[in-house]
Amino acid sequence: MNPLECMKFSYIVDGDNFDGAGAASEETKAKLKRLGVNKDVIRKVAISMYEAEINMVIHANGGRADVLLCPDKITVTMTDTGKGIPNIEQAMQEGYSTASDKVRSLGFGAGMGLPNMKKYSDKLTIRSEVGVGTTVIMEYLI
Amino acid sequence: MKEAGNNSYQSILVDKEACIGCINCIKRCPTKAIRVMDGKAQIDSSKCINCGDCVLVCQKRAMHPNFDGIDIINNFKYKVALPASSFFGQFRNADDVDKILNSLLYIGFDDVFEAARGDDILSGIVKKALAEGKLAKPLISAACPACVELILMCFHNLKNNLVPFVPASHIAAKLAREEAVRKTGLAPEDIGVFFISPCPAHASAIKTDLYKSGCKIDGVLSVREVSLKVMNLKFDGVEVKTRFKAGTTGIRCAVTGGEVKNVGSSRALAVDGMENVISVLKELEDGKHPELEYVELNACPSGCVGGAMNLENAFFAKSTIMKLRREVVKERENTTDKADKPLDFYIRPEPWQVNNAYYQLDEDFTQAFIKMRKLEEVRQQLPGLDCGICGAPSCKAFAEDVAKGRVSITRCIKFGNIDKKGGGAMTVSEMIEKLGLEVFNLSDGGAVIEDYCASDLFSYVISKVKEKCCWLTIMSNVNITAVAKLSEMSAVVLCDGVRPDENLINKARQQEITILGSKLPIFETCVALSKII
Repeated sequence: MNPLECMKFSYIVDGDNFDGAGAASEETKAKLKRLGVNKDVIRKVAISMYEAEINMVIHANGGRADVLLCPDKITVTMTDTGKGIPNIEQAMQEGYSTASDKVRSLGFGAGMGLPNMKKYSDKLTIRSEVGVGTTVIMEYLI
Repeated sequence: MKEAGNNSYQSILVDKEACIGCINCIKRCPTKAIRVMDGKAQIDSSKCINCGDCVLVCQKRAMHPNFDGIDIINNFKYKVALPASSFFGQFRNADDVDKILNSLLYIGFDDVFEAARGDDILSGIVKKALAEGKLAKPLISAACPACVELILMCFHNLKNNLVPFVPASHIAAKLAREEAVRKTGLAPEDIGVFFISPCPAHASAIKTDLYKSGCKIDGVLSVREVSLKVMNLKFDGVEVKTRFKAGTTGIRCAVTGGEVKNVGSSRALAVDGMENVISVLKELEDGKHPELEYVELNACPSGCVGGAMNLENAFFAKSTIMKLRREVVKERENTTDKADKPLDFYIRPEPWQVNNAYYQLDEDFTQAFIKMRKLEEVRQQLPGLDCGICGAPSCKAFAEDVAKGRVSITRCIKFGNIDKKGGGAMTVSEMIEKLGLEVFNLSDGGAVIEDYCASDLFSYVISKVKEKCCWLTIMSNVNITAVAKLSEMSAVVLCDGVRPDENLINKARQQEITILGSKLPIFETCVALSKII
């Protein structure tokens, strides 16, 4: 057993539940703090993962968050089986949003989600198929 | 019997006779600093932020905040009382604030200087600094020492948002000493300044010099003790020699929302209660509220009037304070103290010191990583009920205790809660003492034993034992250290009077393996062990 083997943490992100949204990113943030990870890295993870979590709640009726914690790198994989993103390039533009008025009235859906995920991660990979789902992979160097 | 910890100052002492080992305090403690061990609460002072929540929640009154007794004032020639504003909210039926103030002169003090006068001054400085826009945003109040300690322990990113000035009570103490020197002509060290505090957090902050304000306060008395003393006087007979001088800005700081009103910002937040403070700090840490200018934090519900060392119910005290503010203090508003010293006088001379010990599992990242792996492994075995029967507040906290080797996992109810039944898992030192074993090499007497094995076949041992095992054998060749090391054993006991040779002892020292000796044959050693498990 290698003590430096990566650790994997999985969280179920509950769809339709704005009250509970952010639990996975908060847990992850707490773990990184306990490891003494640089505070700027923690902030990046907290912001981008929170955005991804919220997106899942808004657009995909929830999903799954997997955090792979390695000694040199953090990889966050957000997987859902929602409606998918038809045009990723368009979705990456700041201010572009398909969120409903109800969602906007709660303070979400400003079209900053994906741009923030890109801005606050070292590498962002999005795979999406309409009607099948979306997988967002965010990587951060420690 | 009260018992203090290893640290020189512990702000809350546990009365071991009164404590019944229930789980109220461990559950309430916001920093999870309390464990029930051997049926009694124990406070880890390195994690305690002195908020006093355990004092309030304890049904048996077993938690005693560590305050000075009033006799301490006799060590000084001239004694000045520095009452916190909440003191004036303690007396439901007395409506003459001057008489309450002067009553302090009847219990041994020579003069009184309201701490609220410091708040009058500080409010002005903070308001001005905010208007000039030179300070961090949001500015976080440093008035509540429990909240300051929480930030320095768990929210390091926010330490530079704390108000950079000397706290109000310390400003008041500085001025009180100066005034006393002027009045009496005595040397500053002959003057005793005593803060009358509503909570253990202020007492601890003064004793441990949390604020590093460069200001000396000679003792801390509790609002409760002093209130009980002056109440006996029945205020009617009190002669008014000195008048109440604090203004409305100062006095209302005793109640949540007071500071926010004082700084006059519409983009400010006032929070009270430890849980609320923590949830707000989490949001601030993520930078979610860039619009906020000022955040007031109070560990106690309702603010300082809710402190654990008050006598009066927080809501009555609050009502009394607000009445006092409206009816008495307002008339004298134009006479309140202003900041008339150079700004240096009010600035804290040293940066805040963060406390890494609490949050980080280890200073070294690799070590922290390994500890977290272990912690998660333990956590997955626990039932997740947070029942508290093991003595830890949650399964998560317990997993950490186990991972750090402080307790055995068998304390968990799922594994039989064996500690409580009086045995099972024990430390190496306990086993040595109970069985009267000879010690050939002791690496860690505090190491916990969770498993036992008696055999002389190395391959059998390696395949059978779990970590933290105590291995009984009659083999004494040097290879037993390798087996013990590989299996992460807590101890090896050589039975039947077998003694290790020099080679083995050297190897054991090198590898940090505990080697003990039993005079009994291996079977009888097992029998003796079974009686203490």
